[in-house]
Amino acid sequence: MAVQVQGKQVVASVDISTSAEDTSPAWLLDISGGLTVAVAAQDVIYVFPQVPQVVPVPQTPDHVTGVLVWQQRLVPAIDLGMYLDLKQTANDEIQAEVMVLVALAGSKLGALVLRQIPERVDVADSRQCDLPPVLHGWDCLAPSCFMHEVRGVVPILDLNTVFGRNLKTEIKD
Amino acid sequence: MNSQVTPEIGGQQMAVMNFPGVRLAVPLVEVHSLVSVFDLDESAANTSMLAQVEVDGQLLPAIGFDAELCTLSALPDDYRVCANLGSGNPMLGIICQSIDTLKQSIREQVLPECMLTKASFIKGLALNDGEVLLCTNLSALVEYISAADKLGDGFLSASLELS
Repeated sequence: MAVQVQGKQVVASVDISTSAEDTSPAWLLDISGGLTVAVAAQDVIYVFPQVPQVVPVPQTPDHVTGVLVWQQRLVPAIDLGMYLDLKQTANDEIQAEVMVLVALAGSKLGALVLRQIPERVDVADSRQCDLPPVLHGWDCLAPSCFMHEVRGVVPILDLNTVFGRNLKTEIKD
Repeated sequence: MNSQVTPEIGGQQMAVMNFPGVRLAVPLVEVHSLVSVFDLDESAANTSMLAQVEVDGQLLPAIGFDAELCTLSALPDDYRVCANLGSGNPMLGIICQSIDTLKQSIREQVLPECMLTKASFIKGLALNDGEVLLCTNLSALVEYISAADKLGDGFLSASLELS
């Protein structure tokens, strides 16, 4: 499914692979807390040209910012930086938010709050590396990582786990 | 992307209780009756409930919620109506600013997994003319109140069991 973008320019692809290797296309997503994560290219199906209205839902986890309506569907929105307990930076407060719509198993949808427009990259298998220390304990959310030349270690998200049942309490317990 | 496969609960008539900035939908079939707040007995108010409401000769506990859907400890001036919940057998009064009945049947969607918490009585979401509605029901409210009351004096749980 092609990514639809209106009104905003998606950053041009950056090929970080070596030419002889097989690569997998991915999107780099900058979340709050200064961390960059990645998802498979086909998982991002829409970049919102403007931050959509998000309706807060009381009595839900703090990292779930609410629900938004997209094509008559109700979509939960998550601030992954909050979920991962990443320390918020000064930029998190002043930067305009971006949201992307992601595809989940069973034709479900989710939305992720980002700090800037996603960047498309091609990732080579040889770039695989260990989970960064800041994410130790979260390997269920990001089972693998790769090394990006500029951004350093980039965890690859398991979106179905991110949008699945809330693991935060279980992990902390 | 051509179909909605999010689990849905069958379409049903809903009533919507209005709280400050929050609209909470319940199945219309569970709304037994409505009472003005002027007809409530606030002399029985305690930390667990705002008042008691007499329905069919029974005294039911009546509670209310704020904008975060936390239970209120004092009755605000702009809360005007008490919706007595329980189809056939009323069990609980919910005091709110106002209540209205939706004209069309609503298809409730189960709350997404990532939004679930143990201490929530919101069981679903629904779209009504572009508006997002929070959905609950009597059993979820009773369960929530009973769980919260265990941390308190247990008075409300006892009232619910008696009624």
